[in-house]
Amino acid sequence: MSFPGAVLMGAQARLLDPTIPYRYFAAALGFHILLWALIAAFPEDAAVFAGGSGPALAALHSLTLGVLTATAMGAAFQMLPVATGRPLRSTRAARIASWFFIPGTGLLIWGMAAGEHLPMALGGFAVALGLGIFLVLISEILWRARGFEPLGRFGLTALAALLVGVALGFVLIMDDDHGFLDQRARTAAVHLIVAGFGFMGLLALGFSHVLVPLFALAQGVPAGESRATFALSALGLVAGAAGVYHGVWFLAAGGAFFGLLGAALHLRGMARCLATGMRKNLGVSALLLRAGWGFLVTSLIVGLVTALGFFEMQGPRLFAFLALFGWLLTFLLGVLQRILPFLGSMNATGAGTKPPRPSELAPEGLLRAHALLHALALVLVGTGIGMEAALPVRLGGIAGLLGAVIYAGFALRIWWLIHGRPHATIKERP
Amino acid sequence: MFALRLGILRSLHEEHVAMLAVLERLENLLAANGPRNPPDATEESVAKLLADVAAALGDDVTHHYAFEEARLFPRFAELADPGIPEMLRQEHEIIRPLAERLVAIIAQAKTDGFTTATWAEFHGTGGEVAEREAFHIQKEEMGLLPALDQMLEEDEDGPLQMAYVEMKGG
Repeated sequence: MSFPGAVLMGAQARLLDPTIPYRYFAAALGFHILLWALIAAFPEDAAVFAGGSGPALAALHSLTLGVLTATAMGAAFQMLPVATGRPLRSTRAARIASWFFIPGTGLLIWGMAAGEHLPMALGGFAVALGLGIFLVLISEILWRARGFEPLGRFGLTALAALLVGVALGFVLIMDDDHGFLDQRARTAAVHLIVAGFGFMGLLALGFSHVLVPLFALAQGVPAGESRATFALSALGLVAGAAGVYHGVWFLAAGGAFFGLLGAALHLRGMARCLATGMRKNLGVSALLLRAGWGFLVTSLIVGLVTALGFFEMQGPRLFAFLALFGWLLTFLLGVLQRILPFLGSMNATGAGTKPPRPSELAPEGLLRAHALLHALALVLVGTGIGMEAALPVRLGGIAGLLGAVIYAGFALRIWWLIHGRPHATIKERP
Repeated sequence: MFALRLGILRSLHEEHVAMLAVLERLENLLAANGPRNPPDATEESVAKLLADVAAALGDDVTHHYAFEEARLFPRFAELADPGIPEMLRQEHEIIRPLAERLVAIIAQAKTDGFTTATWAEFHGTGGEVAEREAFHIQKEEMGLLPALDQMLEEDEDGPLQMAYVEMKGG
């Protein structure tokens, strides 16, 4: 069966041992707090970051590996077998991947923050091993489920980008000690583009094809439109990365332009899903999704303008900030806000017990407080980067930290309501 | 939602659409009037909404649920997976008494209006019904109906439609 809702049918039967996805989600919540704490504690580094080890690089990887990639791993292990009907080859391997990936990320971030090569290299190696296992397990599922076109096309390309991104990251770590790269800054920029837009970005676009119609109870995106979005996005990615690496700025600008066309097409499909869906009131999560999409477009416009030479150093910094924090982090928090209560409720259904209400799992007030603080953090840190001023970055970091603590509280609350509290039993009809 | 091939599934889908529209109006009423702030049940728009909620829920928990449990869930279990119909049936068991209670409060409010106590109960029960029913419909719309549309034979459609009409008529 290949329809978006296959994600639901068989969901209970095929739900993983919840400790597998939840360990990745728990790690992501912890790194989410850490990244804002690093920004709040070291705002000068974030405001004028131009590469090199230090707290800003550590905060950046706390976001990209600790939050975005960890969540993608948990979500992929949890949802792809259910969505495609193809089971994971080995749940033990999914656990082993976490043993390498989660502590490896911690060690890598510590090495980056302290500017110490050995923990960076050991952490990077462990991260690469964990991601390697993830890549094998997930690419096998996607390959066997090629009939579900959008997931297969976006997912497999995202995994190819992950391979390139990890390889470039490892080269950058080795270069940090040995200094063999001629074009270190450009290699780092390509690493950011391939890992951010290629891996996480394409994965976000692919998952959106399933999740947004599911949330809104809407018709999926037509195949032709999805193929065109993919072609434009992939073309933009390749052109952007090649242009940046070779310093051919019109090629990089062309990459941003094709990316914008792909994003516009994708957003048209998503807007149609939300407008025509049977569920109109999607709460705070829809606000975060829409804000994330807005940041996607803004980041590509800033990238285009930067490639055309209109910005100084603030251009690349703002481009990276808007794409990674504005688009990917905001979008991911919006998605998690809906799928954590959903998965929790699916885990709680059955065995004659009455699962908690969705609003019990996701209280609106808590979610609004988080969204407000997240928005404040983005505005303040973005302003600080644009002005190269530490104070707004520090204030933004504090707002982000408070928001991240609230978000972790939201997730822990779901865990407690599902797993820690006894449930009422269902009265069967005579 | 999806372009469903079988008429019986299209009928159930149309009932889901109508139910979600009523539930959205109910949620708006609950949002506009807190649990301690009963609306005037005789006011035209409130009375119309209460009548629509009672009609939709009354029909849903009797014919719609019963038909699914009697004719579709066993077929789905036979063709695919017994766990899913069991989960959906358990959700029916949770929603059914809540919906029946809500319909009973509406019947009382029609004659006596809402007191602070009856509105508070209506507010809590109505909110729970709206949430649980919408979540339940989400599962059926995204999973059960499209899956059955792929699995059932076209010649099963006519007898199923007849059975549903008879169930409603009876």
